[in-house]
Amino acid sequence: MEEGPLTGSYVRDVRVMVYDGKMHPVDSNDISFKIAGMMAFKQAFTRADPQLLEPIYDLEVVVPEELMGEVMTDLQARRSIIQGMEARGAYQVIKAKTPLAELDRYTTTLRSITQGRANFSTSFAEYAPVPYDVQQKLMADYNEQVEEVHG
Amino acid sequence: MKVFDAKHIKNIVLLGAAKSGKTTLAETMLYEAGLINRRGTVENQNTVSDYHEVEHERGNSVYATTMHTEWRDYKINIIDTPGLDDFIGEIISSIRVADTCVLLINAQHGIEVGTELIWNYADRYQKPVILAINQLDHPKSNFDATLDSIKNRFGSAATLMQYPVNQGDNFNSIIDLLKMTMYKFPPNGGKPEKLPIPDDQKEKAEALHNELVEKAAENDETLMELYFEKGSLDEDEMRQGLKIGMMNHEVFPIFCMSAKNNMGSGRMMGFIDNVAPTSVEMKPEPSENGEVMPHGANDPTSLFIFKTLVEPNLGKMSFFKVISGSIEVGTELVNHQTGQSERLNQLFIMDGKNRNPVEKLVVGDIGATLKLKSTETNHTLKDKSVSLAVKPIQFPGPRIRTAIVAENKQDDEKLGEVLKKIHQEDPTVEVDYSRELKQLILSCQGELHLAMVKWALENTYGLHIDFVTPRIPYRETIRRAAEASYRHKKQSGGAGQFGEVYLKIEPFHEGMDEPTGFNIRNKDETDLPWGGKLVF
Repeated sequence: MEEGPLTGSYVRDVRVMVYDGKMHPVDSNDISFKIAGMMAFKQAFTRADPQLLEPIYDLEVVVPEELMGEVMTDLQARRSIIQGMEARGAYQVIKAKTPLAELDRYTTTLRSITQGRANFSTSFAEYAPVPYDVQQKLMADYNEQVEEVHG
Repeated sequence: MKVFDAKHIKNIVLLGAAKSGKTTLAETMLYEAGLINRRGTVENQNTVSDYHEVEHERGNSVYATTMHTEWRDYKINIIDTPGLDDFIGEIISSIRVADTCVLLINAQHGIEVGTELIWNYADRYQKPVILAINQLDHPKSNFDATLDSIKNRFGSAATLMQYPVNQGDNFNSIIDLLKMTMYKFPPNGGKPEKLPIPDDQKEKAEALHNELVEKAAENDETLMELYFEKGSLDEDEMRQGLKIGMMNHEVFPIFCMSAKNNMGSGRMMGFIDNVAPTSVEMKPEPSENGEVMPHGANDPTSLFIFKTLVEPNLGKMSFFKVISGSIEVGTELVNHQTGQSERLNQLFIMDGKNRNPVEKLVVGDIGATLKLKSTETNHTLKDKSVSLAVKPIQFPGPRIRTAIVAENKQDDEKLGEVLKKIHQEDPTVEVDYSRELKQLILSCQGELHLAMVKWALENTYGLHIDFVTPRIPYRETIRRAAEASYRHKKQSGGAGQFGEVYLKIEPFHEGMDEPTGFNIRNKDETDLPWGGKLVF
C-alpha cells in the first residue's frame, strides 16, 4: 500500500480484509502469499472506483490593487478556488485554495506578472480529489514510467 | 587597533531595495573616514563589501558583509546587506544585531516593494531607523515624489532632517534643518562648504526647522516643557529628543545624499555618532525563554553567533555580537546549545574579506572568529556562569522548493553533505530527503536564491547538479468496496511458489464499525512504517 496501483503514491483510507486463502503443502511460503496478496489488492483496488487525492494548499497573495486582475486570472488558470479578498492598506489580500501541483515556480510567475510587487505565502490545507481528466493523465504518465523501468 | 568602549560603538545595518546604493554607501563611508584611500565601484567589482566572486558576476550583493569605520571618536560597524529578498536570511540576521537601521530609498522610485518587505523586519525587531534618500544626483530623481511616498508609508514619524536645494545632474547642496546650515559640495564630493541658508530658501527652511523642533520635543515631557518655555530647543536638546523618538519608533529621521558622488554621507555619520543609540542604550536582548540577557560591561561574557560563512581556504568563520562583558583572545567559552567548550584563538574585526586581528572586543561590538568546532548560527557562546541563551533569530519558511539531483550519480552522497554545509551558512536554505517522493528536496527563498546555491555547488564544490520538478505527494483511495482473489503459482522447476489470497477492500474512516463475519480468536494491532495499521 506504500506504492498505490494508480501512480505509486501512498494509499489511504482503505480497509483490507483477507478472508480466505489456499496453500500448497510444499511450495507455499512467505513470498508466495505476499505476491498473491499484492496482486489481489491491486485487482480489488482498480474495481473499487479508485480516486486520486492531491494536496491542496492555502494560498495568500498580497498584491497592489491595480494588479489584482492579472493575479486572479492566473490563479484561476491554476485550478484555484478563490476563498475571499480583503483590503490591507494599498494592497489586496487574495485567499485561495490551490493544488500543490499548480504551484510549481509560482514565485517566478507572480514576480513577472506583478513586476515583483506582490508577495505570497502558502500552507498545507487538505487532500482533495483530483479531477477526472487530470487523474487519467497522471495514471497514464505513471504507467509509461513503470513500463520504461521494466522494459 | 584601538579598543573602543561600549559608549563609542555604533552598529548600523544598510538596508534597502535592490540597486538603492547600499554597497556604494558603505564604500563611501569607509572612504570618508579615511579607512580606504580609493573608492571602488560595484561596476568595477572592487568594493570592500562585495568581494565574493558570485557578487562580481552578478553585480549585486548576495552576502551580508561586515565592515567598520572610525568617525571622530566613534567606531561605526557597518553591515551591508543584499537588497533582493531572495537573500532575506542575510538581511534578517543583520538587522537583528544592528542597533540602527539605515534604510536607503532610491530617489528615482520612492518606496519600493523591496523597501517594504525589509522594513517589516526592522519594525518587527523595533530597531531605530534612519531613512536615507539616495541617488539625488540621478537625472530621474524626484525628491518630492519620494518624500510623498515616504510620508504615505511612515506617516508623521518620518521626520525631515535635510532637503536638497537642487537635484539631478546639478545636485550639490543640502540644507540641514538641525544645524540650519547649507552644505555645498565640491564637484567630486567630500568635505562640503558650510554656507548660510540663501534668502530664497529661508522661509521654507525656517518652517521645516520648527516642525523638526516640535517633533523632537514631542518625545519627552521635560523637552516639551522646555520647548513651551523657550519657544525653541538647542541642538543638544533636539538630539536628545530625536534619540528618544528613534528608540520608540516614533521618529524616522530623513537624510539626503548621493553615495556615488560622496555627498551627504559624512553628515549622516556625524548624526549616527551623536544621536543613534549604542547597543548598551538599547533594550537588552531577550533570552530564549523571555528573560533578559545580562548586558553590562562587567557582566560575565556572552556572545551571539549571527552568521556563519564557510570560506574555501579558511574554513568556518563565525560572526558574533558581544552581548555582555568582553572577549579576549584565547578565552574559552561554552556553547549553550551543544554544551561543548570552544576556545577563541583569534578575534577579528572584518572589513569585507580583510581580517583585522584584535586582542579584545567589548560589549556591543561585532567581530568574527575562525574554526569553532560545533558552533553554528543562532548559538550562544558564554561564560560558565551565564545560564541564559540569546533568543534565536526566526528565519522565514521557504517560498520555493525543487528537487535536486547530481548530474553524476556518484556525487549523490557528497551533494547531501555539501548542502548541509550551505544550510549552516544560510539557514534559509533547507534540505530534506523525502522518503515518500524519493527525492532530495531543496527549499529556498526564490529563483535567484536557487541559482546562487547552484552557483556555489558548481564553483566552490565542483558539483554539477540539475533542478527537477519535485514529485507531488498524491494519495490514492477508493470510493466503494470490492473483492478480488489471486492465485500466485510458479512451480516450474526449483523451489516452487504457491499462494492464493481472497480479500475484500472498502473505504475506511476513523471510528468505523469492526468488520463482521470473521471468527476472531485474538486481536493485535501493529503500526506500520508508512502510517498504516495491521490488525489481526
